[in-house]
Amino acid sequence: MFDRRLVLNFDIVLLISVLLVAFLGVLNLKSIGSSSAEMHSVFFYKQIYWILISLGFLFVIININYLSIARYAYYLHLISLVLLVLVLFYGKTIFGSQRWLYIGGFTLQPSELAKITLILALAKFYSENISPRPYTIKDLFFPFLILLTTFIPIYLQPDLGTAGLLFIIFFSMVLFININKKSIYYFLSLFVVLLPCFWFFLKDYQKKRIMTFFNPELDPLNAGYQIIQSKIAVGSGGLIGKGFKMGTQSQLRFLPEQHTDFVFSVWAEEWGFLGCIFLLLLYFFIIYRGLSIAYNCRSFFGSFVAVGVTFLIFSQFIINVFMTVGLFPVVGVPLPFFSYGGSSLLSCMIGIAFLININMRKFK
Amino acid sequence: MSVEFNDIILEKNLNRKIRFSVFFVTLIFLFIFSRLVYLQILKGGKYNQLSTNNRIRVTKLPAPRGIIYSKDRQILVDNKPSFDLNLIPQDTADIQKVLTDISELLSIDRDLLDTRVKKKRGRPPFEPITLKKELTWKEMSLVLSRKMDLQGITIDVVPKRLYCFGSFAPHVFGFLGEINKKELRRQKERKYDIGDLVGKYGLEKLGEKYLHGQKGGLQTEVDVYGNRQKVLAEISPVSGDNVVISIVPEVQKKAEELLKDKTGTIVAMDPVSGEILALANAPQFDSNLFARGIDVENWQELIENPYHPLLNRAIQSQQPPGSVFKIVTIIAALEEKLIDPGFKVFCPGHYKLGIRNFDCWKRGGHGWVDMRQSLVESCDVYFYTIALKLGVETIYKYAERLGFGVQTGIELEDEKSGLLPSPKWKKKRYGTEWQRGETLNISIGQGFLLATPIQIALVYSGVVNRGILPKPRIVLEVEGERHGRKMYPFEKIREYSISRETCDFITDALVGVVSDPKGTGSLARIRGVSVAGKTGTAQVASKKTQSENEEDTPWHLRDHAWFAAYAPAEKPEIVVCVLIEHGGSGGSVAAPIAREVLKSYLSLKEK
Repeated sequence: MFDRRLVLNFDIVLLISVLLVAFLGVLNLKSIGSSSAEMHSVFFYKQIYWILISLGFLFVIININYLSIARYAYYLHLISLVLLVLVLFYGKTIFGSQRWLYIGGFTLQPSELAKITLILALAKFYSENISPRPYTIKDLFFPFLILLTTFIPIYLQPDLGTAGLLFIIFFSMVLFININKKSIYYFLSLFVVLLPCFWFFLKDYQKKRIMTFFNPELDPLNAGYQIIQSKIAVGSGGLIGKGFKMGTQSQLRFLPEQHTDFVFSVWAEEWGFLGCIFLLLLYFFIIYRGLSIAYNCRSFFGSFVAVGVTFLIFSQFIINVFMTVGLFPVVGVPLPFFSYGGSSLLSCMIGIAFLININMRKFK
Repeated sequence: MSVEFNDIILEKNLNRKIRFSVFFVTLIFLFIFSRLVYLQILKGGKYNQLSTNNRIRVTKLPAPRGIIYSKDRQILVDNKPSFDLNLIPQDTADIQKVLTDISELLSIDRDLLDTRVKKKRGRPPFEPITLKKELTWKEMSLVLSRKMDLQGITIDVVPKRLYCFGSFAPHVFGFLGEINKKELRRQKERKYDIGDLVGKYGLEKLGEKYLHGQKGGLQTEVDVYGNRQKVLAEISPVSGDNVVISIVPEVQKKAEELLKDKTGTIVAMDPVSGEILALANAPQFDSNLFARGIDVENWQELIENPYHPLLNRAIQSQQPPGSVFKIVTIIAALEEKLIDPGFKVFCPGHYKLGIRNFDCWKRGGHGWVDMRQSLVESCDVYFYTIALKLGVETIYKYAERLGFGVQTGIELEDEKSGLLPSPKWKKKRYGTEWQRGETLNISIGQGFLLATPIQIALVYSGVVNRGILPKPRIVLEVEGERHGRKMYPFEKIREYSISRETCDFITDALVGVVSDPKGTGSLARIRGVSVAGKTGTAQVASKKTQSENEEDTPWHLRDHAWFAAYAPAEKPEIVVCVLIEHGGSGGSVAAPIAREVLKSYLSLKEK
């Protein structure tokens, strides 16, 4: 009854790398928490608690064949959509945006869940509509509709970071399906045309952040200052760093949003170039494993899910790191597994659970 | 077979793409790698130096609030510089020593300083802690002379709100207070920080959006001691928008003087434009107490004062209007053509309804009175007589039409709507039927009926205007860098129909109130100006509880004194409503006050 191959193909190394990143993240939170503000020490314990919870989810998910989950992919995404709409009406407002839903003492961020179910739904569509004829723009109407129905409620919250990520997931998955070259060009040109249009949907402060990125002098008191302080933190780490709990930038709280957006700066300051390289290697390995699982999987659904999850993690990673080293505007995207935040951790871990799951059953 | 063949091709295609993406991902990682080499290895030294003393700092520059002007551009509310003593924890090696020094130098309680420092625990060490607000010149020179020893101590200039005339129109201007957590959380963009002052009451609150400025700031490079070396960037603060209001300072001041040592209110408005010329309440308070956050003792005193100085009586005091209401009954009679102006009633000093006796205010009676005289001498019996002919529904209809029972819609907050009773209302509220006696009471402005002084002023303005009710307004114009120029012009609340004859009749009778030898409002007479007015003496308790001699009656049982007036009667420029709570009779107490207010405005107009 129990298949030995399931155990054999359990990608323990991937899980260990992820847990290592999470562990380093917790260590980092401990350092942030040691500076006098009481509120920060709470993050350390809460994060450990969330790691344990998401591990629980991971073990549940890997025990169900992902191909049976595929059958319910659309329904799962529908649940996400319902939650997203609920959050608009009953959500808890934090800093002007409604993202959280209270369920029995837990605050849940349905937009995080939606990222995963969107990947599942898109993978299901692409794997079921396989034909030798390459896709054209017209064939992408339905998946685009799925994207939009997810995008709109998240955009309304407003949570532009996540809404943008959905687009990235969608486009990166499109690149992996069998689509004719012409359509790709259409798509790209459409994207280039639409990009400036997005500008008008942005709120004033968001526009300001982006403009500040290109010209930090525009907002030297807020975003411009954050970029400078973050760069100082990263740069001052030098080769070997200032040591655990020794980072002056972070300990003296010159860095804003240390526990979410700027965790990497804190790490870079305290552990230096060597610490950064270690962390980068772990991420590189995780991404690499994700792609090879996609490569080795024999079902299209599995491959598409693996690709989607990998790019979900990868894009968040790039955006966050680029932001902290001054290569991307300050947008609130967390560093996967490393930043504080239960919902983000949970969704990334569920993604990893799917990778492991797919790898376990790659020969079926 | 062919399907599987296709699958193989497609899979190959997919795998080719995956292989390519590994290449792409590697490239990006290499890019990050090189960026880190650049920042941490090549530029590491420079950044390390920058971080050692955290040389780059941001200081916020406070923005002055908008100025409030009168229509003739007198400054009513301004800002003046005030000096705060701040400590930047990062710039001192020994906080305790600095605190001890300061406490000795300025003789401030050491514990107080400690609690102020403790409150800021957990905040970044470059954030200044305010040790003392509003230093005097002497304190400042003391601190400056010892500046070298006092590490980390700075003196910063903060704009402070200044209400130029002291305790002046506080219920209009309102006051400021420290922003609370809820308000901080509710803001969409970060405009405010902890400790900022925002409008909490009056125009300061209503106009917060315009009045508050936009903070600026400095990004500076400092040395190890926190001394500014170089300004890297500067954003100048933008002051808040200025506001022009309709209050006429001279009239307002006069009104406040007249109310001294009384409990009451005066509202003066331009009946045509709806501009509020004066809005005075007594007792009042001084907005300057709140200019940089009020202290506990002063606040306690304000809220525990039995005469409620925070109450804006002009719009919140709901009282029986007494005889100032009588014009409503007359208008109803004339407009419905139920009673002829020539209709006469004999007043023996009381009116019998069933077994109950309804007294006229004049014990001996007025003798024969016609309609005009009934207003001039304020004969209650005349009204009792016609009230039953009109019926309560008619009186109700006209009272509602003229503006009773609803808010006037003035900009100030928490306006009360008064109470206009009807049989339906009574049935719902008390479950009992309307009594005929209650119709008599309402006809002379007593009974359940309640009105606010601003309502009375508006009702009289409507009659003056032949049915056009102007919206009472205080803010005329907002102008500034942040929102540009915005005018707040005349607005009509609504218009009701009333005949010219009726209006003329009322004005003629009200001029009689003031100028006739027998008129109840003769104390409002002004030489050379025809003043129209109506007295009101509103009972708050039944006659039995009051003694014969007014002096012996407890204060809270004494009558309210009302006077509503407008002048010049031919072409009114100002409507005044005076209410002195428990002041006695309207004719002797309120009328002379109204006269002074009218005089001060009209003499100003002449100039």
